Amino acid sequence: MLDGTIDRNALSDEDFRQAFRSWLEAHYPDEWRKPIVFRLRGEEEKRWLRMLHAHGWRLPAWPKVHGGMGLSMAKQIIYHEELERYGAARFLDSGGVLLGPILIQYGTPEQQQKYLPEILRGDVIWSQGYSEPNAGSDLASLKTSAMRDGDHFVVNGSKIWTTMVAESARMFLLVRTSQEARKQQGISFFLMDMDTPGLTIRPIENLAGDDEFGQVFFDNVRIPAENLVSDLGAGWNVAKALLGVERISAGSPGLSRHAFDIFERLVGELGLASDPIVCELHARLYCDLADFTALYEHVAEAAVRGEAEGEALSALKILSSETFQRMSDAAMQIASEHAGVLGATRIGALEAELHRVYMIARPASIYGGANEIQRDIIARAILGKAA
Amino acid sequence: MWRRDDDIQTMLRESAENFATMAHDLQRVRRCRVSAEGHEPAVWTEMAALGWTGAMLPEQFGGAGLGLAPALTLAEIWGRHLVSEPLIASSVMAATVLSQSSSDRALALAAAIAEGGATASLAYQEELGVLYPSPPKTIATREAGAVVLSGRKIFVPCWSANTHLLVTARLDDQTVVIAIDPQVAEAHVGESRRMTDGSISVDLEFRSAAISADDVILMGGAASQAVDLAIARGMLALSAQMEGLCVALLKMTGDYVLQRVQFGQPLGSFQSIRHSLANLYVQVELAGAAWRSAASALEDGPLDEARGAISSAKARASDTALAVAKAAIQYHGAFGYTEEADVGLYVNCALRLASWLGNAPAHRALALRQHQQRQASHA
Repeated sequence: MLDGTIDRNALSDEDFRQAFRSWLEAHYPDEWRKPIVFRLRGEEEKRWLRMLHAHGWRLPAWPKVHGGMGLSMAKQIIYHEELERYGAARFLDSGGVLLGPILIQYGTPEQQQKYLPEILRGDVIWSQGYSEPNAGSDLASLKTSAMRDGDHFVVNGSKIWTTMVAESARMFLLVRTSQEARKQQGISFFLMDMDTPGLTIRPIENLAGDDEFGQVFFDNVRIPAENLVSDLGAGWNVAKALLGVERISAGSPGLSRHAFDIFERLVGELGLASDPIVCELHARLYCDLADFTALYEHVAEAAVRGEAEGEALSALKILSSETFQRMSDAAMQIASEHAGVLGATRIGALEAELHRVYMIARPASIYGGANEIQRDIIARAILGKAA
Repeated sequence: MWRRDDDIQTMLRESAENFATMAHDLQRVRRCRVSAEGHEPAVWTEMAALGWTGAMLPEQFGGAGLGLAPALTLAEIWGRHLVSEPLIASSVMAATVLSQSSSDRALALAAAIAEGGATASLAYQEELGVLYPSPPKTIATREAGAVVLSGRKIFVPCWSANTHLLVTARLDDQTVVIAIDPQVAEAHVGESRRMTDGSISVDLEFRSAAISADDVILMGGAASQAVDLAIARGMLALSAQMEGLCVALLKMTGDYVLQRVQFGQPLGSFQSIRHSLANLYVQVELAGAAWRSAASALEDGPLDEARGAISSAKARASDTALAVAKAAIQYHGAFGYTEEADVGLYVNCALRLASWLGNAPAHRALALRQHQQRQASHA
């Protein structure tokens, strides 16, 4: 049932929160309520996106003219908060979250008509081809090349750490189309079908035991010229176009709060509530979460006013990753021998996936701009550029 | 900028910044640190004329009736410039207690603080390291129309020979607050300590001191609630003051590492220093957000609901102030270790503010206890 007649933007923020919460309570599959350890992929991700679409909850940030909800920044933030609060599984939705806004801003009408509706319906999973073996944080050093050949561009090189690449039907990617004085120039933004000849995918298993990401090899892969987004050589600016609410939700305390819950339940199950060392640790973690939540709320409010500065968002990114890590570290610290168990382990009434949580927390300080980069951004704001 | 002032706060911030630039400098701070009062009474009187000493006092008490948030803005400026005058002891804590009383005695003292620049200090503490006090051990008894007071108070803050005292005691099995004028012979000053911020804390002893019954300004639940509220607001003001101190000291240290050249480049170009200052910046952001959220909780609801947030904020501000202080010494190099460098003034002030009204571990423990009590009551 497609109900496009409801204007959820007309609701008050509180009513909106309540409406989304009620909908989640009524419709969200219980088996997916596994925050941190579970991420929807492939068909399950599509099922979720289609569900959102069918009930009018798909794509809070897209403008209505393109089929999104066109929500205010405040309501977008609430939307993400409610998903986190409900303990919904993580999901990537690279097409809706990352590519959609880019196509809406830079795509041709033909590109928009071809790609936006299928993303909206949740029919197509996209992956993001940015990082390369020698271009991670220093993304502008990327070397995968595209050479013009008639109506096509011929791509050679390799992309890596491409999340959900095995499940994706299409990929948006950055490639070098010319050598320029500044490395940020000469980069172009392309759209590509994953069944194009010349592509090889090597899955990569991560330390959490998932093979969600992979490496992609390009051997004379021919991409139609019409798949270029914006101008040739304009890819860097296209890719760094503001991600809006994503930068706020990437800095939210959701994962930290769920990891803190696990820590607290461990304290209870292990009977450590009156251990003075555990108490001190517990109190520290509690205050870390409380103060981080306070800062998140203040910055999110400022973002709604359009007054959140880059360094504040960088601070949130550092806090969201490192607080999450500290919570998972602390769980290991108090879990005694259970800390060495591979896979789930039963501790009293608690079925804990300590190892998985611990490992899922590791890359949080790497992806989305490594924390060292975030510290550079903050330092530039308070000290100016390094000489 | 996520920090935002309302109109009154903007006005106050501007006038206080202006005052701090025109009528105040770190030489004055150095003078105060060796003066008998720990501050300059003449400057306090000027502040009264500007409406700051009575900022939180209701208008019928002669104050400006501005409430908590503007007072916290002032505290922030106090921290930025290391202003020595007893804003928190007199105009936040004592003023909070006085404004809960309807007695003429309280009204007169409040007016003296607001208009004439009298100072007052809340003498409630009887044990070290207590955040909110239990019923006082200081005993008051009624004798022939007077009240006789016996007991001991420790670390009474921002004391001078001219400080009015608000003393807590037990009378008729109830908590009371008693106002005592300066230089009353019955209040024996025991140990007097110069604190690291230059203020003076004293221990006081009352040995069957006879006091007029009119001096009892609050009784029972009203008295203990007023004292708890005064302490809570004091904790918030200290947190705001420490944030201000951190912002100024971080700026000062940043300026220094940008102009100090070693190995052919400014220290501020070295990533180790840049990242370390970035980490401190994140902590200052947390401190600033924590006290603001806690202040909203206290303004919007009962103290019991806000205690945890207030303690979390005071813990964060205390730890951050000390962390920024230590980094400031380190990055100023040997120069930062000298008495003549201004860094030391900030470090010394941070030490005092971080330990006054409870240090970080004590506050974290309280925040956790409150969280657990709330969980238990929901279970």
